[in-house]
Amino acid sequence: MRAGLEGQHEIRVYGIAGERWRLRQVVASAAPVSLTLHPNRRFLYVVNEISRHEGLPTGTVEAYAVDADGKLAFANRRALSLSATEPRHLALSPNGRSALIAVDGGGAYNLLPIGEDGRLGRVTGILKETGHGDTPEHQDGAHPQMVVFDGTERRVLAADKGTDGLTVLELQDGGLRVRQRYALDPGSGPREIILHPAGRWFYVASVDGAVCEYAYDPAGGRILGHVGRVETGAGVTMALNPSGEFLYTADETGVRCWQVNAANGRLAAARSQCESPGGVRAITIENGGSALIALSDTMQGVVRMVIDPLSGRLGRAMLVASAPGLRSIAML
Amino acid sequence: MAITVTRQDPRYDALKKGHNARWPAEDADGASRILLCENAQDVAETLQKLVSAGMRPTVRSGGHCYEDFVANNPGGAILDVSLMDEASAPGGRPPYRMGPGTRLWNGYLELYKRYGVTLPGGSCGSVGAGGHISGGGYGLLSRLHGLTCDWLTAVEILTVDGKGQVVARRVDAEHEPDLFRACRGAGGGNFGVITSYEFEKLPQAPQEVIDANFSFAWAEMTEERFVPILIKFGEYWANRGRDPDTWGMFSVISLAHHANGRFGLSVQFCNPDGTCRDLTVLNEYLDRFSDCGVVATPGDGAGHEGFGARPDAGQLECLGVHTVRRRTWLDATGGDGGGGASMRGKYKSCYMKQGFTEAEARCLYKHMTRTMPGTDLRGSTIGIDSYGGATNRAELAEKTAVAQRASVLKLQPMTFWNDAKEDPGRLQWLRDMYTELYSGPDADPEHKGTPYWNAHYEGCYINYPDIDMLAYDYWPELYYGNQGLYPFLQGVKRKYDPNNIFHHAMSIRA
Repeated sequence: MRAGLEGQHEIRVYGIAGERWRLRQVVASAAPVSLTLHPNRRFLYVVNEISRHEGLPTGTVEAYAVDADGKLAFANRRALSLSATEPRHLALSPNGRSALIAVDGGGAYNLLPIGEDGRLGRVTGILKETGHGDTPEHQDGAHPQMVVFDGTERRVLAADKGTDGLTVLELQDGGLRVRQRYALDPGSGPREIILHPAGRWFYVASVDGAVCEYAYDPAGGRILGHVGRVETGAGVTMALNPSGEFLYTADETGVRCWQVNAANGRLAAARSQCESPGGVRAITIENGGSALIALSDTMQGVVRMVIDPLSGRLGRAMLVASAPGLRSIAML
Repeated sequence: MAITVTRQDPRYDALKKGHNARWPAEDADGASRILLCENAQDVAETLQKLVSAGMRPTVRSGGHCYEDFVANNPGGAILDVSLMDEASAPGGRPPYRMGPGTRLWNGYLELYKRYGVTLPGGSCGSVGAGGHISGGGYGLLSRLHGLTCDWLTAVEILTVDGKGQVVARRVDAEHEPDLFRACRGAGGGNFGVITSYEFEKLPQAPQEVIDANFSFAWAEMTEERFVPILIKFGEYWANRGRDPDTWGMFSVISLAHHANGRFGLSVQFCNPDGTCRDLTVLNEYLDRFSDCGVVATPGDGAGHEGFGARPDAGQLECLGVHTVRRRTWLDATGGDGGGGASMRGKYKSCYMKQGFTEAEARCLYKHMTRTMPGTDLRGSTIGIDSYGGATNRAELAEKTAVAQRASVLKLQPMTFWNDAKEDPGRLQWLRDMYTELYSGPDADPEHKGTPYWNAHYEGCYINYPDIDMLAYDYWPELYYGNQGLYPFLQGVKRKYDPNNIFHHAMSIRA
């Protein structure tokens, strides 16, 4: 098994061997901020959070081929549309033929096709957002943060931190159109979305330090409404275990586990929590759901915590790789 | 309601492009539609629809943008204001109003016939007022009367606010003066859609002018003959040309590449009062070149694009050894000088505060006589315009968005061709010439390859945009100087276009 990580200007590939990961490869990349694996696991897509590429005001995305040993080989790089600066996140359609980018700086979404060879095509769809929120620090304009396909090949849930809005986007003939706008509380600043495997609800982590649950109609492609809210901490990030039983949130103070109600998706704090690292930038669940992986500024690297399959409780935090400044992780 | 031309419309192929046949570079780069607006209400409604749909608008008046800023707009729409082309003074008295779609020549005609005034704009008659004036347009009368944007007193403009709503504004020196200043020279496609220009006053058009032309054969040219011609030309505009009695004289060296056979030096003259009663200044100027082995002949269009609109009009006169043509200003100005057919083109620019040094002249000789195997360099030329005079009123640097107020020459290197296969060679020739010219002893040591601001140069002209300059981090300083204009424009951008709806490769980056 291999894992791909990134530093400020590089992508790191680790081999996973017990409690210590071994660095296998370092690949230079402008400013990798988001890693996404192709469904066939043979390609990796990287978002570069830059404001200028070849002199033009735009960010870039890159495609890499992943070999049997997990090593990366550069495939191609695409500039995003003009003014699509500081892209933040990329989502792949379930069939791996479309890539949608949330563009934080430029306040936009870009759609790119993906070829059979995994290479990124040129941008075919651009949707420029407008508007702003009430909090000048992070809401001076539209700032799309994350995009998630809703299980179909054509619909996407998007979170915009700058406008306090969720949007259901639709892919149509290589372009993008808005299917639904859903306004959140002013100042909330949605920045992450996780769709529950059941498809009928999703979770939104916000800048205001909360995770909210929303009901979703997967057949009609509509957000039905707000269902619940739990308080977390500032800078919260999330991960859901594959079965959908446990949602983990991490913020500056540590990692918390939430029990997911199988009937309605509501969250309840797990009975017992554990000591966990603070300053977490991102978390993910190891394949199979046996452990949670966190990128911790406090511990300056990658931390692994075993998950109790019954209670969801996390075991002791073990530093498996020293690498400060990591921002995103994808696991093969 | 705007006229909508989609890809299925038979007009699409004709309207998807502007004057430069290079753009859109590929079919997929073209706009999804062209929206032709006939009035400000059309523009407002259309712009709102585009913004609400998340589509990028690019704005076109005459379609003469040198780079791909308008025509390359995949998935977006070209908001075309070329039908908003009225130039008049409602009620028969100032202020004069000019629609952004007004072609310069049509505007000159209207203003001249109705009021006897003119705008000191460019010689390419098919250029639209929208981009020309907002980029600080200049022309043959600019030494006498300044830049077009210097005369501007109000602008009607549609902007898009933070919530994505279109806002109609009328800005002037008293109302939102920051935006008004930005509209006076920062360049098109930055802040909104200008729907009308307004001028409280415009200068009287000259009554008559005299045209003359020197023509030089490359076959008879040597480097030792060439260098003094450029130096003499530059010396005049850097010295004698600063005197107000010369401000009615405009001259240009159309330095065509050797492959064209000849190059020319043209002059259009009038006294500051718009007459040609006293020819002392002109005689003095023409005689400077007598020892260059040529005598002046009547302007025939070979020397400068703007001089030959009606080559048969006027009367021939002898001035010593020279033969010149006296004619009405209107005859001398008419037509589409420089407009020409739509070809592939690439352009660069430079403002010069001094005349040519020997090193510069020798560098130009080298590149204008260079041959490149497999590359036809016909259609390659450098327009070397006299500048200065009224363009250099330093106090206007603070009131407009044109920072260059100390230059005496303005250069426009350019090359035109038809076949896309020639792109690499043409672009390479122009880049090589420009890079070497501005890497010499006169260039700023920290900014080699560009005419960065120093004692000799004053950067570049935003209406001759050149995306090659994006290779330099300091490219905004080339166009806007290093004395605070660009930060000011960034503030205007943040204030009036917070969503960056109006953007292109070289738009103001907030």
